[in-house]
Amino acid sequence: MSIVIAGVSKAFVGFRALNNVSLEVPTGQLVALLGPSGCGKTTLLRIVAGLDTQDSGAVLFDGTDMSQVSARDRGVGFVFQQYALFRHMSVFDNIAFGLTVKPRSERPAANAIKQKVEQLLELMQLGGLGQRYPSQLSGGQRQRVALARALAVEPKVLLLDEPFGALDARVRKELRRWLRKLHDELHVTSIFVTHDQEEALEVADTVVVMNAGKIEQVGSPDDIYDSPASPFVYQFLGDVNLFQTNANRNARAERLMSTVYARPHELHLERVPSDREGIETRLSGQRRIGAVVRLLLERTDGGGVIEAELTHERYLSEQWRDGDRVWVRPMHPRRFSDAVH
Amino acid sequence: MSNTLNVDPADLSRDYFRAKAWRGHFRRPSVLPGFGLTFGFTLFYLTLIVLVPLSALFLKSIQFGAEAFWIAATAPRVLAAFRVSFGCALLAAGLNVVFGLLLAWVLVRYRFPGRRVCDALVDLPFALPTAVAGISLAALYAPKGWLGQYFADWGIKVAFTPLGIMVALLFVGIPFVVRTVQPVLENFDLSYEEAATTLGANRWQIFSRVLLPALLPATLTGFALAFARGLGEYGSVIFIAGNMPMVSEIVPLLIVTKLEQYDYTGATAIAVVMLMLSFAMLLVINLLQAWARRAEQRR
Repeated sequence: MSIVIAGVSKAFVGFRALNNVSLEVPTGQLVALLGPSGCGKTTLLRIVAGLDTQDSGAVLFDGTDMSQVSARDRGVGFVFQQYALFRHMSVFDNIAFGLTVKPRSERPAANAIKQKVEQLLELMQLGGLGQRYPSQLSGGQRQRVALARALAVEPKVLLLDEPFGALDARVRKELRRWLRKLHDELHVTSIFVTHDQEEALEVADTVVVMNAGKIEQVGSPDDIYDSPASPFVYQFLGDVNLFQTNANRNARAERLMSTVYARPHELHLERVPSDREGIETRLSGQRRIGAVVRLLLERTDGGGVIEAELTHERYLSEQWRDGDRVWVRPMHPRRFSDAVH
Repeated sequence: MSNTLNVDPADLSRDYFRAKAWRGHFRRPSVLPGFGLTFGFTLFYLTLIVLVPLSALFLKSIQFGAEAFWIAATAPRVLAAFRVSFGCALLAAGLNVVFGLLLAWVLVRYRFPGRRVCDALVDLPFALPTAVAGISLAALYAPKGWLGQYFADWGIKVAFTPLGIMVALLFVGIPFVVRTVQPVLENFDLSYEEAATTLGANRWQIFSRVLLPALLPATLTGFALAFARGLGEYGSVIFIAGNMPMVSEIVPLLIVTKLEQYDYTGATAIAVVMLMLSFAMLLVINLLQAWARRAEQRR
């Protein structure tokens, strides 16, 4: 089922959550809505689900306007950040809930429900946990139960609101790989909301970067990372160094003041300047984080601190010491005219 | 894993815990000092305020001998009063649960002008002298009263019948239900209902299968409190009940009547039976509540 979001706006008291947002999600895709908290991504997801209503615009499933269709009848599966599992029901009953509330004429027989739930438990790697209660499960297991519950009614669209937000880093990594695998098996059109750029880049077919109620960029993970459309996208996707070009002696080409963006691991670091473009700095601090070492380089012209990242191997072989003089040159400088801001 | 000690650690810990078990029932490690003092005070206070008066009642009843006790406690008028008291209190508490839930729901879930005033009104039955409530209810529901006249048209007599007792108990009991359910409802995350909605449940299914089980423990507490209050209620009931023996006479009134006739045996016997019945019922409700709470969030 394809989803079309056409010019959706939504305002809460004293605050515009969504400002004329349009987006197309083709059938079978896994799309990430990525953005900082308060950017409207969750509101958009809830509008698609029918849990909130838009002030203007429309949501279409396969070309049909869903505005007048209630959340109950939209056929969406929704997974909440805090799981929202029914605490007084066993895992089995939680998963079976959507099937047992169907009108008598559509409700599968008890046997069929049992079979379906068992099958989902297997799929979710929860075999044997059917009689447990949600409070007896770990966070990762609970989220998988929530997912199984949403999938039990065979939704045409799966919506996940920060599905891994409440989990610790390791479980999170495991679950997102597993979600990707699950999606490759089921091919149900899915949208998930996240504020974690790594999660979005790793899991999604298409990443939608949002900021302040608007879509900044839509593209494949590679597109988004390699050619960010705006300074916001660039900064949101990872650490970044800013260079004002008018401080650069070689700024003849552009009289317009602009800022160059470069990621910490995309810098040439030289002990001896190879051309006149390098920025002279002094090494003022270093910190190892696992496989990488982060260097703090203070510009000798007083232009602030540049952050650089090296592999630990290179760091060891090159013997860096505090106070070393280093010339820095961005490898793939990205220029955004300041007028864009 | 190397186990050089040749001792199963489980055995060690089992002995350790067995030794500590007795103490452990009474005491848990805590950052707050003074368990001995505070526990002692709790026992002393409960004894002084609750246990001593009640045991005095029991001791007094023993003086009269079993036969006199039995005759006094099973007199037809006494049995009728028990029926009236327990029947009305149960029915009133049941009705209060239904409407108390509704009230709490409206107060928590909707924002409307005057909500705070409504919220404050709920507490009034706590504060109002019960006699005042009884007199005004009696005046209102009397066959010639503002409200009573309309009931009279339908041939229903409210004041001076068991129905009047119910009305008084509804009045005094409602805050107990609202005030116990309200905080639970306030903390009940909307996402549970939203989850149920997206799974295709209709409003009734959400209420009966998601909301009600979560509210059950608090609702039972409210029911127990309203019921207990209804059993003991005296002031508001006697003005509206009519107090006809065998029909609309409540137990507390019967006890006072016996005392006024210097029938200490009768008064004490009724009081003891009342006490035991109430205690038994409250115990059952408490057990139910504990069961519901366990069922609601199994750990």
